[in-house]
Amino acid sequence: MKNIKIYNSKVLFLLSFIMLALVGCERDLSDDAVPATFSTIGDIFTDNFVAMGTDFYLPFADSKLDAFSVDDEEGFESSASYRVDVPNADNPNGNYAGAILRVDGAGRDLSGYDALTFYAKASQGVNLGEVGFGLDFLENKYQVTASNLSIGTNWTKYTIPIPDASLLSEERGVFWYSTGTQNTGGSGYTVWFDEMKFEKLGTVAQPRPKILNGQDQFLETFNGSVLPIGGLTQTFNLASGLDQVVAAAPGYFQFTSSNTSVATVNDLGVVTVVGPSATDPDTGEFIPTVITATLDGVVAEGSLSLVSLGPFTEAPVPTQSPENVISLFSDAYTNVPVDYYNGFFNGDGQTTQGGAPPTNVGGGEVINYTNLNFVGIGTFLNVQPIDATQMTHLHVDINVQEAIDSGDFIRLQLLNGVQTSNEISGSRTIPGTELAQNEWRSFDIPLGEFSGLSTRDALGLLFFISDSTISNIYVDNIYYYKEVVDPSPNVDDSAATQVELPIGFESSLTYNFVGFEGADTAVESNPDQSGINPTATVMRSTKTVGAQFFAGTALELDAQVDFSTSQKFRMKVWSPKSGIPIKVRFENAGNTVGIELDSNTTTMNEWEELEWDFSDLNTSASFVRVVVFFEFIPGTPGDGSTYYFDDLKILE
Amino acid sequence: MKKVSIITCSIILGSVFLFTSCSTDENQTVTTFDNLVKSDEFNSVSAEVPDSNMWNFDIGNGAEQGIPGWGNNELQYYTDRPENVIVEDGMLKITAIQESFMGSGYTSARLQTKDKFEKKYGRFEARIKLPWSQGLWPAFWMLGQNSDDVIWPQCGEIDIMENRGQEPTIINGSAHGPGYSAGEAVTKAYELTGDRFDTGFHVFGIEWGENYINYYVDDVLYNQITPDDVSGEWVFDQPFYIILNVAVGGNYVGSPNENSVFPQTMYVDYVRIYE
Repeated sequence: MKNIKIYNSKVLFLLSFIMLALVGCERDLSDDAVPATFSTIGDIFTDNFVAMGTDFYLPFADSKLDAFSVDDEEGFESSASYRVDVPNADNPNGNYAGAILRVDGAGRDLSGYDALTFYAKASQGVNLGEVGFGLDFLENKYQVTASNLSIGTNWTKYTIPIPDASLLSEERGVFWYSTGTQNTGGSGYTVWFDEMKFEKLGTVAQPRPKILNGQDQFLETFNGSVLPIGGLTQTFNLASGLDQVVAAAPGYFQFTSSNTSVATVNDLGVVTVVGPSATDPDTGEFIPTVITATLDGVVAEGSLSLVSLGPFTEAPVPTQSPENVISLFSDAYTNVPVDYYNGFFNGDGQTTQGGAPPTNVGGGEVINYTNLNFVGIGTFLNVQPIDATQMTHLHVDINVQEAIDSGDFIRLQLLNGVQTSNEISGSRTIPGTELAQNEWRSFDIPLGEFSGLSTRDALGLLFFISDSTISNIYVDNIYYYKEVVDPSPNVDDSAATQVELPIGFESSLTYNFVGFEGADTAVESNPDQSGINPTATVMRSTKTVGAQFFAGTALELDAQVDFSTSQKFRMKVWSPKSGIPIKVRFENAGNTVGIELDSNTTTMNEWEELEWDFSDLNTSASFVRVVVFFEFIPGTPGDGSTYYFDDLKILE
Repeated sequence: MKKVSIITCSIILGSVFLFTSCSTDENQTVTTFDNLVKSDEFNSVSAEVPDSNMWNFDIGNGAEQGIPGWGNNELQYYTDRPENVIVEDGMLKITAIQESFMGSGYTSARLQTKDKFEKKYGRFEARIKLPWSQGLWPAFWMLGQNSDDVIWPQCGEIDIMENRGQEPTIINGSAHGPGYSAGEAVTKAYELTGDRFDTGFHVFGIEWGENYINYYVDDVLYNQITPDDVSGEWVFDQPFYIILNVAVGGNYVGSPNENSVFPQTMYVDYVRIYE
């Protein structure tokens, strides 16, 4: 409602200006035209508010709304000041103080000033979070932010320089601040401001603007990339001889591209790559396009040199049905909330850049990790960890942007129960031989291959780890999915002459098996001849109360398993629990060689067919025993649950 | 003896902390010197080097003169390279550079007129835009012509202008003599309001006559020093020569820090001497 009112008055003002102009048409040319001007009042709060109108205090929506008051006792050489009571971190009404002071009415002409100044003191020495001006909750076009001003307990004058005052001919956002208790251990404090005003000091000098924090960055990218230029600051030397750095909005800068047929840059400092870079005919190397900026005519330190490799080939479009997918990052699915796509664990030696935010290339979002050594996608801080118990695979598409050397790899690591006493993790390494330079490679990794990840009900971190062997990758379509196995035909082994795969327990042969470590096993009638398994006879495995978590059933085979044409093992299972891992292990006669994988149940109290894909394991040994472990979770003893399995086979 | 006196008299621009009172201002002698007897307008378009008929270079870090750090623990190595001193755009530019050179971490330049232009009494002024940053120490100053023959500060030193780079609004004018030198010199600061010395040109000068030295910035006369103000012998009755330099670091100004910006240039539009 307030906003509407304000806009109306603005419209009215414009109308009156237009009418003036119309009237002006009747004047002689020699008459001086008087341009519209705005109030040049610099004062904001001296002993009280100055010319701010009525509704000028606009707190941040999630701050403690009433943190501000006018103090009638404290003041700098006066008895009035602008008082901010920063709440304790656990205050239910808001854990920080923040507001803008916006002129209720037409903006001010601040072009004759060079700084916002104020006196401030605090109830204890603090670093004030952020303070500045130009924030108006409208365009915020000329926002200025000074961070971490050190405020002591005595009145001291502070100077926040204006990056380029000539632009501030109509500014309504004359003051803003936001400060919490991050630096006080959660304890609230009081800050007093007084003599808040814009001044022409004449001593604000030696401007040194920067973009990209003064760095000269280099980037290889593609047509369609959208790259916001950040790290925008202006630094002035003050009369004290000390520098004051402020973050300055893009509106203060004039951005330039050295070649607009490759990349354009708009007023907000957002670069759009529009065409491929040319190559130098002599050297064959790409000619970079350089993005630079000036502020009030001064060349900013820092630049972005980019090379566009041309059209970006997007990752293959995923084909999994959405109802079987939990997506972390994909344009094809609705993604679950994540804490971040790059945790920047710099204190732990992380060098990886990118992912925050994902880049936009050619209309689709993609993550570009550079300087990769390791990087994590987090889902454990402020979002729900991912329950992937029903999922069977992790999918990820990776496009390596460099030559791949022998020994290069990317290791995926999943952590469950992050920062809890039950934190566990499992890893799966993608060797460099399965990756390709400048080409997408898709991976569908059975979650059972993340050895050690015995539960996945609260996945909190997915790491990409290269140990710097590979440093620049695009990543897309990161999601978990449930592979829906089309049930294979029931096994009729009634005529079998020896116990060998496939096995349906329908023959009169003697099955040589054992339940161990607390598992009780027998060949029995199918208790649930419905659904996908109407056959008569199945194998039971009961994990008795108190059985070892590694209790299971071993079945001896009379002939070795033939993995020569397929490495996919299938089995029908019946479980009273959904989402528990079933480990299948093949062993040679002496159990000197064994391979094993997990697959999770996705239903309960009904037959389902699961798949264990041993393609990535060495299946060359003479395996003559198959061992089945239900709910193989370290530390989880048997609870008396009864499981059934049937139709063991290598998929044709 | 002669060499020793050179060494000692070169210890100059010592740290000054004393601020004299303004009481003599009310009775100060004001004399008008308006007959231009010597000037360098630095307007040469052909030669980029300072006029050798007027200027000598002091080269090195002071070690050759027996006073490494020029007596003040200064950090710069003075050269006559065009990177450090050049006449162009109608100005003399003395540039302090952060670089490793002959064992020093900075280079700069120092020009003086010893044996080429020396004068007793008159109006000595220069129009200068100062460098800035913590650790910069630009100066426009004079030493007595017998600096080679007597021990400093017997020769006398008149600092028309010296500045600490971290004090962009303040310059100091001083006089050093026997009994009142270095930290005990007679000195006074002048502070600009609403302006600074590194963003535009300002005129720094003295009017010097028998028994007085008047100090001014632009059109503001801010101090007068007379024999009554000094606690020792008045030694300002002989010809003096002129020095222009930009020092880096040292006792007076402190070292540059991580926020210091290099290179830094002192721009001298002209030096004029009237009588």
